[in-house]
Amino acid sequence: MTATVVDAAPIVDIVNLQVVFPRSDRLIQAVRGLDLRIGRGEAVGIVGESGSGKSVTVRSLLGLAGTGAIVEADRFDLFGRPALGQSERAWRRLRGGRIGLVLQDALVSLDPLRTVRAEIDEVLRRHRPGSAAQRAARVKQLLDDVGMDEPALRSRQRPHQLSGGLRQRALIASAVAGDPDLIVADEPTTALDVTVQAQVLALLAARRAADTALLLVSHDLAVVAKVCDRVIVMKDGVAVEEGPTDQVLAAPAVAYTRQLLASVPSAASRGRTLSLTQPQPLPARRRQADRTVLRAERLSRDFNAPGGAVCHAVRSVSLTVAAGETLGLVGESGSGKSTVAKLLAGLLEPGQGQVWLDGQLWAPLSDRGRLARRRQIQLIAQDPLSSFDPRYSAEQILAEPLRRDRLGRSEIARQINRVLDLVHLSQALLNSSPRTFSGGERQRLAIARALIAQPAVLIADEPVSALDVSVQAQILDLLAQVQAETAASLVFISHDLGVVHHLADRVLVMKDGLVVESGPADDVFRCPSHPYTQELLAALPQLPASAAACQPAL
Amino acid sequence: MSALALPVSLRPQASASGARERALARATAAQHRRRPAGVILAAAIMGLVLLAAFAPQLLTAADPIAADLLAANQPPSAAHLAGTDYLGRDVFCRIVYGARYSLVIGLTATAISVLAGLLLGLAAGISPRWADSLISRAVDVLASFPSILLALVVIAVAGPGLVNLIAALGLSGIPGYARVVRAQTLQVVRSGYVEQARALGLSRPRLIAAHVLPNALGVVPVLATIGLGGAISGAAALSFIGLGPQPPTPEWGAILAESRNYLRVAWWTGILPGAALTATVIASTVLGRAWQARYERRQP
Repeated sequence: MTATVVDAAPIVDIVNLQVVFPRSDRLIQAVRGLDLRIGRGEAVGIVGESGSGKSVTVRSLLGLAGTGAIVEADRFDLFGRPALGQSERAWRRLRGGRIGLVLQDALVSLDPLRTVRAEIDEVLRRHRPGSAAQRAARVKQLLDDVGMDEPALRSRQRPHQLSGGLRQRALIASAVAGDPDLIVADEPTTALDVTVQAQVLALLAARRAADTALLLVSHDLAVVAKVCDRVIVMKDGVAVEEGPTDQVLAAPAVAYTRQLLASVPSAASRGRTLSLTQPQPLPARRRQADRTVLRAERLSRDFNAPGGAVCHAVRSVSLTVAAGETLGLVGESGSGKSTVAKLLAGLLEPGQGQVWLDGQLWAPLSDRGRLARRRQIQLIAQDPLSSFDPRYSAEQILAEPLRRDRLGRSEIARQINRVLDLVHLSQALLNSSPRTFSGGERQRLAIARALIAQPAVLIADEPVSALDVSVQAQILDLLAQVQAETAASLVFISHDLGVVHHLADRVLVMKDGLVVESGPADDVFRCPSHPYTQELLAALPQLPASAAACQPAL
Repeated sequence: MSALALPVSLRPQASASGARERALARATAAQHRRRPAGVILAAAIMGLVLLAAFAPQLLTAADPIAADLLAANQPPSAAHLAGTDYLGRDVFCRIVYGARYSLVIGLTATAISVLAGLLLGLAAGISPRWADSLISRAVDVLASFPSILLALVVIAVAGPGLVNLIAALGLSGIPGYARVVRAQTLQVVRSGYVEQARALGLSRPRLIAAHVLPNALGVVPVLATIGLGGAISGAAALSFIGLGPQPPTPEWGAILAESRNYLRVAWWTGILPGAALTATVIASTVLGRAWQARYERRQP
C-alpha cells in the first residue's frame, strides 16, 4: 500500500467539523466546529449527553453521518488524505479495513440470520483475503483474542443464541477482523452489566496496547476515564473542554464539566443534592425504622422457559421496608429484581411466600381483594412513556388514579396541581401528550401519577437508567425530596451501584433470583462480604478519586 | 479551538451553504406535499359515489330500468353520456343508481366483518389461553376457505339475493379483522400502561373499556376503509356470476354480466361500469392507505 507516505500523519485530523441535518422546516446543527485529532495508538474519549453530537461525530468518521446529513470541515483528513466527498467506494475501503466500528446494540448490529463465523468472515474476505482455511483459522484466532469461551462452538452460533456480553465480543471481533488502525466504539458497554462491561473495556484496552488507536464515545465519564488518554467533553455540538483525561476529570476547567462530574451519583454524593451547582444537603426523611410497611417472606416465583425448562426467577426472597425508608435492590440483568418488583406491587402472584402490606396480607390474594388497596403501592417504570396510555394527555394520566374517589372537578384540579408542584412540572404541559415531553419531564409525570395516589410505598424499577446524567441527577434529587415530603417508603431497583449507594438506606444484592447480601448501604458497599458483591464493586469503573470527591464551586 | 468562536453563518462556505439551502427547500416542499394529488382525487371519487348513492336524481334525470328498444346500443352522446345498452337503458343512469347497491353491500358486509371480527379478536385477546386457542382455531378454519368459495357456499345454501350476498361477504371478511384485533389486544394487554393501570386499582371491566379496547381498536377503521374496496369488488364478482341482486337491478356486477354479450357492438356498456367499479375500489383503498399512513405517523 502507500504506507510510507501516510504513516507519519495522524489517523484522524479534522478541523472545524460541521454536521447539519435538514429537517422539514429547519436545519439541525448536530456538530458545530469540532476539531478532532487522533494519533497512532492514541485513545480518545468523547463524553456528552444525548443530543451533544457525539454519535454523529463518530459516524461522520466512517462517512455514515446519515441520509441527508451535510458534513463540512476546513480539514477532514483520514490517514493523511482528504476524505470528505470521497467516493462511496473509497469509504468502503476504510470501513472495516482501516477503521472498525463497534456500536452499542450488538443484537441490532449483527445479522440475525448469520453465524458469528460468517459475520467475521465477511470482513476478512473484503479486507484480508486468503484461502478458506486461512480465514477459518483467523476467525478462531479473533474469537480467542476477544476472550470468547469455546470459540469453535461460538463461531457456529447466531446472535440470538449469545448473551449480551458474548454478542458484544462477537461484534468487536468483527470490528477488528480487518486489523484496523482505529476502532471507533459508540457506547460499546452501555447496555451491558458492570461485570461484562469491565471485560469489554479490558478487551478494548488490550487492543489499545496492541497499538490500535481508539475513539470511545460514552455518556459515562468513568468508562472513558478507564480507557482513554485524552477526553473531549461535548455539549450541543461543541467541544466545551478537551485535555488529558486525568486533568479534565480531576480539575475541570469548565462549569459544564464540573456540573457533569458533580451529577454522578456515588458514595461520595450520599446525603447531598446532585443537580444543583451548589450541592445542598438532602431534606431529612421521616424514617420510622420500627414501623414496617411492606414485608415479604420467602417469596419464590418460577417461569416456564421455552423448551420446557423452568426458570427460577425469584428464590426465597425475604425483605422488609420500614416507613419512610429507601431500600435499594441491585443486581445484574436476569437477577430477578424486576420480578421482585412485580411481586411486591401485586402485579404477579408469588409461587410461594407471602407479602404483607401494613400488617395485612397483600399477596397471594385475588385481584379483587387487592383492588381497594392497590393505590398504596405505586410503580415508577424505567420507560415512563410506555406506562402512559398513548391516547391520554398529561392531565388525563394524572386524573386516572383519582377515578375511584368520584371527586369534583375542582378537587381533581387541586390534587393535580399539588403533585405538579411536588415534581416541579409546569401546568402548561397538562394538555399535551407525554410524547412531546423530554425524558426528564416524562419521568416527572410518572412520579406525579404515582404520588397522586398517595401511596405508602413507591417501587421504582430502574427509573433513571434511560436518562442522561444531569437529568438523572434531577430525578434522584426529586425522589429524595418527594420522599421527605410524603414520608413514603421507596423500593429502588437499579443495576447502577453508584445510584443505589447514593440513595438507599439499606441494600439487597441479588443474583440468580437469590439475595446474596443485604445490609446498610455503607456497610455493603464499603466492606462487601459476598464474593459476588465484591466482584460487582471491583468491576465498577471508578472516576479518579479526586474527581469523585470533586465538589463544584469550591 | 479558535474556530469554535466564529459563528457558523460567518464562515465562507459558498458551495456548501448552497447545498444547505437546496436541502432546506426540498424539505419544505416535501412538507407542502403532505396531501398528494392521488388522495385528493380518491376523496373526490368517493364523494361522487356517495352523492350517487344518496341522491342519484341530482346526477341523472333518466330512469335506470325504463327500456327503450328503439334507442338500443347507442354510443355515448350528449343525450346519453355513457351510451345505452341492449335494451336502450341509459348506461350512465344505471351506473349512478348502481352506486347505491355497491356501497350498501360493501358497507354492510364490512360492518358485519368488523363487528364480528372485533368481538372475536377482543375476546381471544383478553381470555385465558385455552379460550384464546379455541377462538383462534375457529377463526383459522374460517380463514382457510378462500373468501369467494366461502361466499359461494353460503349463497348455495341460502340462495341468491341481496341479503344473502351481504351475509356471505361479511362472513368471509371476519378472520382478517379478528386476527388483527387479537394481535393488537395482546400487545395492549401486555403493555406498560395496562400494568400501571392495574397498579392504580382499576377494575378489570374498566381496564378493558378505558385502555385495552380503545388502543386495540385504533387500527380498525383504517383496515375497514381498505377492506371496503375488497367487499365492493367481491360483491360485484358474485353478482356477475348471478348470485347477487337479479336483473334488471342496476347493480354494477349485474350490469357487467348483462353487457358481456354485447361487448363487440357496444363496448361502453361494459367498459364504463367497469371503470366506475374499479375507480371506487381503488379510491377507497387509496383513502384507507393514506389514513393508515397518518395513523402510523401518530404512533410513538
